[in-house]
Amino acid sequence: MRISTNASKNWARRSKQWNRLQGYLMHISYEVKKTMVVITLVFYCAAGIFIRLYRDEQHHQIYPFFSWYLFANIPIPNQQVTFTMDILSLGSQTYNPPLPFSQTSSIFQKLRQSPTEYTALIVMLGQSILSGDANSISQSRQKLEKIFLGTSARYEILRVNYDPVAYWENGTYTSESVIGTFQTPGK
Amino acid sequence: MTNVQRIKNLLRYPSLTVLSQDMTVMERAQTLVKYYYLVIPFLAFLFGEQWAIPLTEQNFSPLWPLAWAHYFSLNIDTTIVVIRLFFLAASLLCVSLYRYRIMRIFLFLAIWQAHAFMSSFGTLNHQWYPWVYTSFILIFLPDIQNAVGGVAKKREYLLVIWWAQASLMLIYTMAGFWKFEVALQQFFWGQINGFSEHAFAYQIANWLPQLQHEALFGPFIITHPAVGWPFYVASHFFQLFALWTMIRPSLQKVWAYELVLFHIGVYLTMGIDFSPFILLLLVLFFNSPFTPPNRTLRTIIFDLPVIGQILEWITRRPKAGVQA
Repeated sequence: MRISTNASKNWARRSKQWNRLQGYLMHISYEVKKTMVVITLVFYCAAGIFIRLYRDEQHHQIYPFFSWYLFANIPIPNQQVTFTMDILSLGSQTYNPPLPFSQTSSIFQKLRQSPTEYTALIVMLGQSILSGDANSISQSRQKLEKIFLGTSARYEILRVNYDPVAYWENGTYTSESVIGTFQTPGK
Repeated sequence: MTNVQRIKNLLRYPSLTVLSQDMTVMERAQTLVKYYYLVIPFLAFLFGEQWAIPLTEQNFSPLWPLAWAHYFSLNIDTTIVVIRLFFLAASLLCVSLYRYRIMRIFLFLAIWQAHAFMSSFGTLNHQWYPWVYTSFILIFLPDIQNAVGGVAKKREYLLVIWWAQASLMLIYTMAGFWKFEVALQQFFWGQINGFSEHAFAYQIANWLPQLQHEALFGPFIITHPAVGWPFYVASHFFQLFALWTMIRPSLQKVWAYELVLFHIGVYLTMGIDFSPFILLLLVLFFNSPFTPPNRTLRTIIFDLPVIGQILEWITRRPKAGVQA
């Protein structure tokens, strides 16, 4: 009985506070509300610019803010140097020739994710290998290897130079070199 | 005319106080809100379909809005069941009870949780962002019944709708801004850039293998880059100036249709599905209360960004004969 009385008192107090808050909001002039709306939009835009300019590729979003930097960069033919991944084996399946990352969509169906979400991780791992930073390599591997969902996998990271149109037409890079081969633990 | 007056004239926007006294405008505003809450159960259904259990925990790293799941030590399947049920219940209840702020708060929480869940697998989901933002903004709608209410409440109602629309258009403007910025940068560096004839072909050829999508017209544009060129450059323009339509509402419908076509084009050439954006564009701009009823082709052309200002300058320029 006492508990219910306390609860009802609390409820009454809360609802009084809520009504007071609504009262304050009601008394804000229309001009101030209009300014507040504009400020939220400017703030969102500024947050997006900040994220783009001061955060690296892997962290270009701070939830729930996003820079909306999408598909802005046009790839330069034959100056396009990046990193990619070839899968050598996955579970009991061995790939000879190796399975290129661009043909791994079946893996991503199980993940319910787009493969593009992992291209930045591959690039990060490639850059870590070239810089020789063991800590960064370990961190990048840990994130990237989640795509194998605990299945044992052997894969290699390649540094490639390519012309996107030529690659799309022939599936060949202008130049490529394997910079690291890794094996994941698992079943 | 002084420079300040010129800027003020450039940034002129329709008076919400005047618009709020027009019954037709208010009816359109209320219809817009009604349709907004009417389509959300469809999204809830899509979400449920897309995230059917059992799910794998291997690459699940929950974002901070899902801290409650960690607090209650819920596994991924239980978490998604709770979110699905909450989303479905809130969206169905909101169809008829959206006038109550508390219901709109519940619905925002549900959409936010669904979005946070979808974004908890390594990278964020972009497609649902504007639904999160707009559902949050619409919480601030004042209570008006059947277009009845004081002028203050009515114009606040319109202000909240303007805010929701602007939040969506701002996203496009930000995307367009980066495209222009990088295009200019690459242009001055003498590289292939966003304005080049082959830009779209290179963009598609670069992304199709990475996305591993099937795209009906992707291969055609790669082999015939000149066909896609004008559409690609025009899409930059439409994106960059999307926010402009919030002060020139005669352009809203034109822009909304163009942006819908842009998303359809992206799907056909790159296979990227932005259907939540399309749905929101249709709901917010198909029957926008700010679209003037008696707009003419001339109004639309003179309201266009850049082009409109040039035309205005040309037509207002005093003629040599008149001056003499």
